[in-house]
Order: sequence, then C-alpha cells, then structure tokens
Amino acid sequence: MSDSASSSAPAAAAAPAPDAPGHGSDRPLFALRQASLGYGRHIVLRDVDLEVHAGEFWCLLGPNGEGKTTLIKTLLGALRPRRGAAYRDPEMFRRGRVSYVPQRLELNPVLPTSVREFVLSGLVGVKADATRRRGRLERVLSLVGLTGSVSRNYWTLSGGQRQRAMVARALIRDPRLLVIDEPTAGLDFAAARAVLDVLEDLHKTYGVTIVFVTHELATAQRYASHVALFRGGVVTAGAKAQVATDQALERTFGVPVSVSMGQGLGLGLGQGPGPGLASGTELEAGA
Amino acid sequence: MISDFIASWDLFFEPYALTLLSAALLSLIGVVTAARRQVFIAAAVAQASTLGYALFTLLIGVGTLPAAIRDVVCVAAAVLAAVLTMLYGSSRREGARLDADELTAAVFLLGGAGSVLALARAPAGMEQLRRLQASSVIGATTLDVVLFAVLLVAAAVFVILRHRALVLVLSDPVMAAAVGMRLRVWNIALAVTCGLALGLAVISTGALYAFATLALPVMVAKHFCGQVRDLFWAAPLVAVATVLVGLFLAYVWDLPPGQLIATLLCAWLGLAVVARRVWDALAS
Repeated sequence: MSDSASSSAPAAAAAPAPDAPGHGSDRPLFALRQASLGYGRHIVLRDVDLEVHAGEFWCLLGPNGEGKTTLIKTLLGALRPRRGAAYRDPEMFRRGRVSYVPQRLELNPVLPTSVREFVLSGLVGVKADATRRRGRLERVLSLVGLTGSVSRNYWTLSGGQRQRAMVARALIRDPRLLVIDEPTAGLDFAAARAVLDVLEDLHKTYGVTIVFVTHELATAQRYASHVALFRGGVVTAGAKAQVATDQALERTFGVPVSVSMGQGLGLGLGQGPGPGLASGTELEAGA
Repeated sequence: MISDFIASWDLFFEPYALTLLSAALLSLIGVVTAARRQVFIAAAVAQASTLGYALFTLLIGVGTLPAAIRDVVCVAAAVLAAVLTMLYGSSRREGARLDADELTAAVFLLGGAGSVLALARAPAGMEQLRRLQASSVIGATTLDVVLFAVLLVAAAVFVILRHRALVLVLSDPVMAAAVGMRLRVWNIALAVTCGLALGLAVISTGALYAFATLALPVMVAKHFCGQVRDLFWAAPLVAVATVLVGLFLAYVWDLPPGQLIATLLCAWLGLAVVARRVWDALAS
C-alpha cells in the first residue's frame, strides 16, 4: 500500500489498494506496515506492523508515554503515519461503523451538557429519525446503567458514570469497531468492573471488535485475544499467547513480572475481575 | 420616553440594526469560542485587525488609503489572526510549548503594540488608529447591516442543521475524525467565520462592544441552560434583549451605547451567578 493511500482524509472512503494487507477473504479492519507514527518531526513509534481483524479483542499494553494513544489516533484517522503505510477498511470507515471512547474530553467543563445531548452526539453522520434516536438512546443508556441520568448534567456524574456515558455515546452508532483509551483509569474497582462487563458483553454477544488501551495486565489477561506491547518506540503485536510472555512483559514494564498468560496472572491483589488478578498496575516484582 | 425612542429608529435605523445583528451573530459565535476556551480571541483578533490596518497604512500611506480598502485590510488581518489562533488551539500537539490562551495573548500584544509602533511617526495615522479602536456604530451603513444580516442567517441555519456535529467537533475532535468528519475543514471554517464576524464587528461597532457581545451573553446563558444546544439560542436572546435595553437607556441618558451594553451584560452575569446559586441551594 502506498503512502498516499494511507494518508487519506480521516475516515474517508479510500478504495482498497491492490496490495492492501490481507486484501481478499481475510482483509483486516486496520493494518500498519512498517509505519512510523508521531507528531511533526517527533517520531513516537517506529516500524510498526499490526493487523486488527473483525471479532478480535486487542489490548494495547505499556507504560505511560509509550505511544498507545498515538497508535489509536492513527487507527481513527486523526493522525497520518510519518512513514510506512496504514490501511483502514474503507467500507467500515465510510459507513461510520467505528466508535471511540477517549481517555478525556476536550469539552469545556463549565459548559452545560446533559447526558442525553452528550450521548446523542455520537449519532453524527448516522441517519435516524427522532423515534429511532430515542430508541437507540434508551437502549444504550440501559446497557450502561444510566437510564435514570438522562437529563443530568454530564459534569455532575461520578467518574465511573462519565466513562459509561462515553461508552454509551460510542455504542449508540452500533459500531463494528470500538476503540477505547483507558476507560478504567481513575475508577474504583466497582466502576471499572461495570465498564469492563459492558465491553465484554459487546464483544461476546454482538461480536464487536475492540481495541482497548490499558495499563492493567489483569484486564488483558481476562479479555484480550490479541496484545500489543509498547516500549521504547517499538510495538510487539500479535496473539496474546505468543506476545505476552514473561520476558516480553518484563521488558515492557521494566520490572520482573510473574505471569502465565494462559493460566491467569499472579499479580498480587487478587481483587481483579478474574481469579488471582490485580485490578491495578501493581506487579509482583522480583520474580 | 419609549415612544421617543421608537421614533428615533427612523433616524438611527442602521446603527440600531447593526448593533442588534452584530450582537446576535457574535453571541452565537461566542458559544464556539467558549466551548474551545478561546474567549480572549475576540480581544486578540480586534488588535490584529488594527495591526493589519497600521501595516497597510505604513506601506501605502494614510493619505492615499480609501476607507473601503482599509476595511478590507482590517478584516483580512482579523481573519488571519483568528485562523492562526483558532487552528493552533484546535490542533494542540503533544509536547507543544504554547497553549491557545498564550498564543492569543501574544497575538493581542503584537496587535496592540505593533500597530502603535508602525504608526508612531505618522500623526494622521495615529489619529486613524485611535478612531478605529474607539469606533462607534454612528457611521453604520446599509451595507454593514446587510452584511451582518447575511452572516447571522447563515450562521443560524448552519447551527440549526448541524448543531450535533458542531458539539462533537468541539467536544471530541478524535471521535469526530473517527466518524468521518473532516476536522481540518471544520476548524478552518470555524476560524474564518469567527475572524470575519469579529473583524467586521470591530470596524463597525468597536473592539469593546465586539468583545462584550461575544464573551458575555454565553456566560450569562450558561447559568440557565441545561445543554450546549440551548446555548445557541439562549446566548443570542440574552444579547439581543440586552442591546434593546441598552439602546433605550443610552438614548434616554445620552450615554455611549457600546459601553452601556457591556456594563449591562456584566450586571446580568452577576445576577445570573447569584440566581443560579440560590436555585442550586433550593434544589439541594
């Protein structure tokens, strides 16, 4: 795929190039080929190779500042690769079947924003009359447990409720691909669990492809089918069992990690969503 | 007294209409600048328009400068400054050393200081500059009124048709890009609209009035609106109502209307803050 094809307008309908990754029966939703990503002259990630296929659940794992959000922006078309090629499924992006849950909002918190208005803004570009809009709104608010908060000011919600409202806004357009940037950061265990349960249900019940940024190994262990590890500008990506080895995780997080991804993570606190899992980033050092 | 004021519309139709239309337009645009936390852009753009005028005067000479060309240069400088500051603010880059407010401050200072320096040795030019900075609506023409009416109708229609997309662009640019919105086009269009309206308003009504009607109505409206979309009608409503009251009081007391309207808007803001606190206390 050529550079010019990869640098098309955000979410624009670029025709698949003949040499698009996986062109044919197993075409990915998103792919990077030897791509260098960054801002201006500053390269954050180098020579990234990655393919996201329908039905996969990806966790992007790594410490802060390693380029996870940069990769997500590229996936969404908000950032162009500085070198190499990016491929985005033209049909899916043209039909707007992609949704994004950001880590934080740009919206000025002193502006009054109701939950209804906030969630409905996710329908931009989707043709739906008032009845369908109302139906979708009720459905997604029910899914994330915010039915009673529809008229509340978004900024008066708790941290967990805001995250669920952001998930609701993403879901209201019935996405095929859901991209989520650290949705559980700063949440207590119950709130984080509620958000993660919604995502798991979406993935298992509706087959939504999920790309999920997190610091939490426990989350990756429980939910991910694929993992990308970020360290020093390098991305190691692939099936969880192949990529998330003890050595690779130790290299990524900079401390020894006692992990057996196939049998649960021995990561300490034991209060996470799975057996013997930590809910945070606390790692068992000195293994 | 009221009938005298109504009768004065025949004589002052253009200034009154311009004051009302510019207030409605700028208060609508004020919702966008408030959402982007770029309230001070009006002050910076006003100063930038005077810098554009000063530089053009320096190059061409004030004696040979027709008023129409002067106005075009001022508006072009205002548009350029608005595009520069709004685009920078909307494309915040990782590791950037300046935020939008800081760039706005730099444009404000460059416009204010640069315009005076450029014309410091041209007495007639300095006089022109002073007039521009303290301009009033007295000299408003039918063309000014038509221009603002067209801009207001265009802005209102756009907001009615695309308010949801507008809110998404303002609140979450990455999501907006993900759902297929062309962010660069949106950002440039918003910046050009803002610069055009402000540049024209500064020339026609003065910097203080333009800044007041851009920044204050939305601040008042926020206290009794529950959604961003409501601000798009509430802020212009506050602005237009205040302008009508201000024009009437200015007529009765023979005071400068721009300053009076700005003061009234500040008074409404104080009242709105108190009323909101009382409401919240009663509700809880």
